[in-house]
Amino acid sequence: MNERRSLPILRPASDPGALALGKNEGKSNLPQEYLTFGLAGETYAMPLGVIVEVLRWSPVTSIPTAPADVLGVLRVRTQMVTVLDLRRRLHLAESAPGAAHRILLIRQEGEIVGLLVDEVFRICRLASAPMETTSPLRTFLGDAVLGVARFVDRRKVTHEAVDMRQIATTEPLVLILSPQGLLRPARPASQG
Amino acid sequence: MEQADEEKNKNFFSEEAEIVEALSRDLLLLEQVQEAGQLDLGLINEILRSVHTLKGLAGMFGQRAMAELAHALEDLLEPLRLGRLDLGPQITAPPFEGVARMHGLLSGGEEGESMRVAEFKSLLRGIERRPRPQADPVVAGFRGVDPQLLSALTEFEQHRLGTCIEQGIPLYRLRVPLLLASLDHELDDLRQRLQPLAEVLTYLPRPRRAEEEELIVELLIASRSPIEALHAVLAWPRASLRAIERDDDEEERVHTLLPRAESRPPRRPSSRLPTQVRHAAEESENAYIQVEMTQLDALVDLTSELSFTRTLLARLAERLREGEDPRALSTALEHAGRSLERQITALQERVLQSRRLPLRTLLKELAADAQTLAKAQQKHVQVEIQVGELVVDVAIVEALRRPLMQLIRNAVDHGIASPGERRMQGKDATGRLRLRASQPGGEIVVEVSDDGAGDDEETLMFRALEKGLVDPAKGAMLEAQERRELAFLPGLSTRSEADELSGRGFGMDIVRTRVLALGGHVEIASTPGEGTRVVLALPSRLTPFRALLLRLGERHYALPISAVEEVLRLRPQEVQRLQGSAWIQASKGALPLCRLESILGLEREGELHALPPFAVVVREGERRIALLVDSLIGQRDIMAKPFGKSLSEVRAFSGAADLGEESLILVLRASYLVEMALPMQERFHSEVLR
Repeated sequence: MNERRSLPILRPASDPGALALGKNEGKSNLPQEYLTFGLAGETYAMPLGVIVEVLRWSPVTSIPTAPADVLGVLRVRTQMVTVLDLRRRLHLAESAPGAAHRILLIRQEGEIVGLLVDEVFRICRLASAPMETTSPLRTFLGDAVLGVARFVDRRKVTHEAVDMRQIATTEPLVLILSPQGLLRPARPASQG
Repeated sequence: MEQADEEKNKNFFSEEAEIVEALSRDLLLLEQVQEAGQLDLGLINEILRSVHTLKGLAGMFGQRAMAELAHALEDLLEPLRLGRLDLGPQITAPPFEGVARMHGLLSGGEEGESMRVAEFKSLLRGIERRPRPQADPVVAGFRGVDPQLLSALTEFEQHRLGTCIEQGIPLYRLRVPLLLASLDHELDDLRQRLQPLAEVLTYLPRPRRAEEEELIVELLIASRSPIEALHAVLAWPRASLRAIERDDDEEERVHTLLPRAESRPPRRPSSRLPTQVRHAAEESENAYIQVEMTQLDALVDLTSELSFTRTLLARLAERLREGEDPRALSTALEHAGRSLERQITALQERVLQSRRLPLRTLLKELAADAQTLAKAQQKHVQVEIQVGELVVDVAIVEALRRPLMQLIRNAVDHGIASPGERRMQGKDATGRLRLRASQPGGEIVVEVSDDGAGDDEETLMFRALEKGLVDPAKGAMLEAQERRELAFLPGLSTRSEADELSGRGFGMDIVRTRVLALGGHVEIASTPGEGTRVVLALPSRLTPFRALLLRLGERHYALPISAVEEVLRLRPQEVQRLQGSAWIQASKGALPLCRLESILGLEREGELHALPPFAVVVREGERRIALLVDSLIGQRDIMAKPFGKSLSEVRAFSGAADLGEESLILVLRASYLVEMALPMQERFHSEVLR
C-alpha cells in the first residue's frame, strides 16, 4: 500500500536551471541541493538532505485540540507521522488537497514529519551569488525562512558571481525554507 | 553499591519466602485431594503459578540453584496439568522435598544445598511421563460445532476435551448473546453460574456485524447434568444450548483442523536454563536481557510451523496451476490462511512476552537507593511501592530508570526534611515516599509522591524572573499549571545553593526532556508544606490493551477499558442541574455529565443533540465523570502508536491505532477527559497526596 504512494526523487544529471542564492558568499555552509515545490502559485525550496520521501496525498486523521497548522496524523509503514499544512504554517490561503498534492516527509530531530505542498517541481543546485534581502520576510515568518533565490540561466552565470540586475526578472522568486525553523513552534520562551 | 545489593537480596528473600510458604500450603492441600482420589486443576494451576514466579525472581537475582530447583518442579507439574502424568504418592512427595531444599537455600546454605539440588534433580528425572500426544487421537468430529472453535484449542484445552470424551462426559454447545461493553464481566458471570454443574472447555466469539452492540459467543461445555438442569442454572435470556453428538464420518475433516503436534520438532528439555540473548532495542541502555530458553524454544517451534504453512501454500498454488477446481481448493486455502493467522499472532505474542519484565524490580531498586540517600543525610524515609504484577517491555523499564532516579533524589534531597524539622512542622518524623505504577490502557503511568516541603510557586516564579528565564511581562499572566511547569525550566532550582545530588536545577528539565523524547508526558502538582506529586506517563508502545470504541459524529475514538468503570443507562428524569452543569446519580455518588465534543472543543453543527441512552463512567484515580458519546461500538484489543515529538503538547490523546479502517482511531487519555471536565478548583488541589 505505502510503497505505491511513494514517489522516487529523481536527480537530473545536468539541470539547466541553477538556483542562485545570496548570503553564502562563496562559503558552502548552506546545503547545495534543493527540492522546489509550489504553494498557492508561489515557488518554495527546501534542502534536499532533510527530505526522506515524497508521498502522494492521502487523507490524514485530524486531531482535535492540536495546533491549527497540524493537518493530522498519517501512518507511514510503522510510524505515526504528523502532517503539517504548509499553507497554514506560512499564512497562505487554504485549499482542498487534490491529486497533484504531495506530502514531503522530512527528518527533523529524530522525528519524521510530513509537510503538505501543492505540487513538487524539481531538484536544483544552489550557486553562489550576491544576497537578496530577506529581512521583511523574516519579520513575518521568522526562522522559517533561510533566504530568497531566483532561477538563473546557467549560460549567464559567470565563474565568480552573477549580477542580479542583468538577470531578467521574468524567472520567479524562490523562497528557501528552513526545516528547523518551520518545525520550531512559535511560542513563548517558557516552553523551553 | 554493596549496600544496595544487600537491600535487593533482602527484598528478594522476603518475597521468595512468602511464595515458598504459600507453596507448602498448596502442596499439603494437593496431597489431601490426591488421597481423596481427585484432581483439582485450579490448585495445580495455582501451584504452577507460584513456582513460575519463584523461577522468575530467582533468575532475576542470579540465584541459580533456586532457579534450577523451581524449573525442575515446573517440569514435574506441567505434565500433571496436561494429563501426561497421573497424580500419585510418587508425585506429591518430590515437591515437598523440593520445598525443603528451597527453605535450605533461603536460610543461606547456598553451597551445601547446590549439591542436594543436583541430587534432587536426578531424582525427578526418574519419574516417567507419558510422551506428548501425537495429535490428539480422541478428538474426532463434532456436528454443529464451529470448526474454528476446535482449531483454536490450546494444548491444555485439547487435553481437557480429550479427557471429557474419554470419560464419556456429554458435551454441549452453548450460544449466548453478550453485551460488548461488558463482555469480560458477563463471561465470568456465565462461568460462575455453570461451575457447579459443568466445565467450560473453551469459548469463541462469533463474527458479528459492525453496528451490533451484542456479540454471540459460542462455548463448548462438558457436563453430566441433564440439559434442563443446565438451562436452570444458566437462566440466561436467549441462550441456545444443544447437546453435541459425535460424528465419526467427519473425523478426517475435523482432524485436519487440529494443530498437528507431529509437525513440531521434539522439545529439548536439557537446554532450558535462562540464557543471554542479544537485544537490539534502540532506546535500551543495556543491550542484553535475560530470555528463558523455553521462550526461544517456543519461537523455534513457531518458525518451523510457519515454514510448514508456507510449504502447504506453495503446494496449493501448484495444484491450482495444474488445473484443479479452484472451488475445491478454496476451503484448503482458507484453512491455511487461518493457521497462518494463528501462527503469526502466536509469534507476535511470544516475541513481546520475551521482552517483558516486572516493573516491581526497578521500583524496588529505586526504593533501596532512596533509603541509602536518606541514611546519608540522616533522614528517615519510608518507601511505599504499589505496582501489582505489572510487567512492561524492557525498553520502558530502561527509559523509566533515570527520570525516576532523578525524581526520587529530588524528593529525598529537598522534599523531605530532617526528622527534627518535620517534628517542628507537626509531621511524623519519618517522611513518606510513594512509588505507584499502573497501566491505564495505552500508557505506563508512574507516580512519585512525597509528603515533604513541596515547591512554592511563588519561589519558582521569583527564581525564574531573577535568572531571566521568564519575561517579567508574561510572568504575571501565567496560568497555575504553567507556573508549575516552571519547575521544568533548565537552570531553575528553588534551592539557594547547589548541593551534591540535586538542586542544580537541571533535574526536572532532564526528566521532562527524556520523557517527552519517548512520547510521554510529565505533570507536577505541588502544595507548599504538604508535598509534591510528579506523574510520568509513557506510551506502553508494544503492549496491546483492551479499549472501548466510541462513536462521535462520523468518527471513532478508543478509550482504554481500564479507565472505564461502568456503562450507565441514562434516563432523562435522573439528570439534575446544578451550578450550570448536569449531574447524574450513580452508585458511587453524583457524576458530572460531559459531552466528548465539548471536552475536545469540537463544534457540532446545528441542533443540540438529544441525550444518548448510555454514559460511560470514566475513572482516573478517585475522580470520575460520566462521558456522553453518540454510541458505543464495542471492545477491541488495540496496539496504539504514540505521536511524534511535534505533537507532544496534544494531551487529549496518547496516540493512535490503525484498525484497518479509513482513518486512524485516536486513543483518548482518561486523565485529560477528567481534568478538562471537572471544575478548575478540583483540577489541581484535590488529593495531592490523597
